[in-house]
Amino acid sequence: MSRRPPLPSALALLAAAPLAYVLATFYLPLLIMLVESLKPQGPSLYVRVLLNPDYTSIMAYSLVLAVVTTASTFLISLPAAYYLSFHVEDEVEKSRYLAAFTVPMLVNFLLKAYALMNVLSVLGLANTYAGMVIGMVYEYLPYMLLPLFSSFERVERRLLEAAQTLGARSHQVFLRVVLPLSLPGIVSGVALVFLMSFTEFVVPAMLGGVYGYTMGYLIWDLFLKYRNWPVGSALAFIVTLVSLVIVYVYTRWGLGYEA
Amino acid sequence: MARGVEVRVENVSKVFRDRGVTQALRGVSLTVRKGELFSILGPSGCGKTTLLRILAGLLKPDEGRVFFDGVDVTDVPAYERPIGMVFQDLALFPHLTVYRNVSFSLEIAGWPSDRIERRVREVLQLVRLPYEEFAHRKISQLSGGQQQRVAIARALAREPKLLLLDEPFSHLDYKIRIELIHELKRLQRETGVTTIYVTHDRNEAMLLSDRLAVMKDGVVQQVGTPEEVYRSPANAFVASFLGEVNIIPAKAVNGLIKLGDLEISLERLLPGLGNYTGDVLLLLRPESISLTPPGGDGALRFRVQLAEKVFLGPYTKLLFSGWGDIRLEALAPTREAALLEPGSVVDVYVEASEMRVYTD
Repeated sequence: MSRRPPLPSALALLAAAPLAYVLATFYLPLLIMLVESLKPQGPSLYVRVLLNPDYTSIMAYSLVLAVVTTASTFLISLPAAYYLSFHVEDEVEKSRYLAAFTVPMLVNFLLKAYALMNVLSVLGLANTYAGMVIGMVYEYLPYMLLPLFSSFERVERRLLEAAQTLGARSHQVFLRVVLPLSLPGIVSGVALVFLMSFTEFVVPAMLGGVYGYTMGYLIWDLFLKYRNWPVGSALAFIVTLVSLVIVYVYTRWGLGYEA
Repeated sequence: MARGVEVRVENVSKVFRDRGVTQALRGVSLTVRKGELFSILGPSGCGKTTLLRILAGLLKPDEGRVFFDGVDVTDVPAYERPIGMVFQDLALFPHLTVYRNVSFSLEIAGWPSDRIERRVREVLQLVRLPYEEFAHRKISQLSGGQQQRVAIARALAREPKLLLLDEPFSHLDYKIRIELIHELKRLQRETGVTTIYVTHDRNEAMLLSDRLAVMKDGVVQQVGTPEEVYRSPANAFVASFLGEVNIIPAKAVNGLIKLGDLEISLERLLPGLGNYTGDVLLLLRPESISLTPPGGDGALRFRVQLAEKVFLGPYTKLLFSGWGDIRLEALAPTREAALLEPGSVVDVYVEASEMRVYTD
């Protein structure tokens, strides 16, 4: 039997503070919310919410938006990350490109959203579905690009040469060697962007116009406009659960080759 | 069954920087015969790996051409060349099983799966990895030697006409290395594939090769059978790279050199040098120095003093000091060397034909 070495008490204190912080600010409110949602009528509220097409249709709509956003982000990031990792030889140039992609992450989102709004209205895309998707992709691009890029970077270059000497052309090298070996990065980028875009409400609210009524927006309204805390909490829990299940299934499937 | 190609390299040059070190090939020309087992031997940085990568099509030469069976393949990319390559770090695909590593090139070539399976069985048998036991293992579940075998099997799967190996055994234990070298030799005989083996290890090169090329600083110094290159090295570098050698600088005056109390006529060592005046280098393998006078009258006799004995099992290394500050290293059967004690002054003998002289 292995016994864990006792943690020195000073270290335990060091770990205790952040732990307490997380407990107090994340898990405790979550628990309060759960209690809140169950207070008026118990679990039957959940059944009612799930059977209400007004809510479920919005959830489905948000799900589709999240899938569209994730897919677009992926399709845009993949070639960019690939090019950056495999075809920019100069390290300085590489880090410049990378900075250009990540600096937008550091800029306040409202600022970016208003800037984008101007561009979209010039293009006549303000308050359209397309405009909203453009905004979503714009916000989440770095979250997809960086994991993709770093997992491409980790692929041993010698393996690509080995594949070439075995007759593989560049698309075959990509499909048979690069892609399977970068799967962990792809899976985490996709999961991250999907989760964030599923519950996003700022971008749809600002750029989506009538198309912008997403799950996040609905929950926001329920809490702050209708003051309907029980239903708001129930929906928030359902959304969390649905995204956890989707991401769990997806990562198990995506990383299946490792098992 | 000669299934290999003839490889001809004509005047190939390449200069590039790799991790801050300038690598270069300067006007390399070579011919490797059909079905030959050929080694490229040289110290690190001599350009041997660069040359191999050019043959594989992974690098383009700045100048010069490469021919396979007389066909110019200089601009043919790696994936279109009939090659198999074994890399120094093996570069096996970690996400694939042994089977899928070996079948990789066959899948790319679009073979039907039953034919692929037959071929994988065949090749695994060729490298002596039992199919049932190994085919479905992951690469990480194999020992170093087994991984080597998989790498060779993968390279041979689609029956390449040219097998390229880049120091594939350098990180293995001596015993496994020797075993794999014998295996490689057997494989090469069985398949008849032209094989080019890059190494910095002279023992590997001599054990393995039909012929070998010795390289230094991007230039081919000499090409020949191991015996030719060992016995008649083109220069002092080749001589010392292929084995222990005594290098004795001397001055020649009108075709005569003086070593201690000994006068040697250069004409005896290298016809045509009868009147040479200038600096020369004399090269002498330790095993060419004998403690007993050989029959015939071609032997040179040196009077030397034994400075040190190093026991090497069947042989003993003898370090002699001679005239001036010259030191001579000799290799003698231990039972002969046992009769000598450090400090003793003895005569040693060298056949003139065993001595090489260089005038550069």
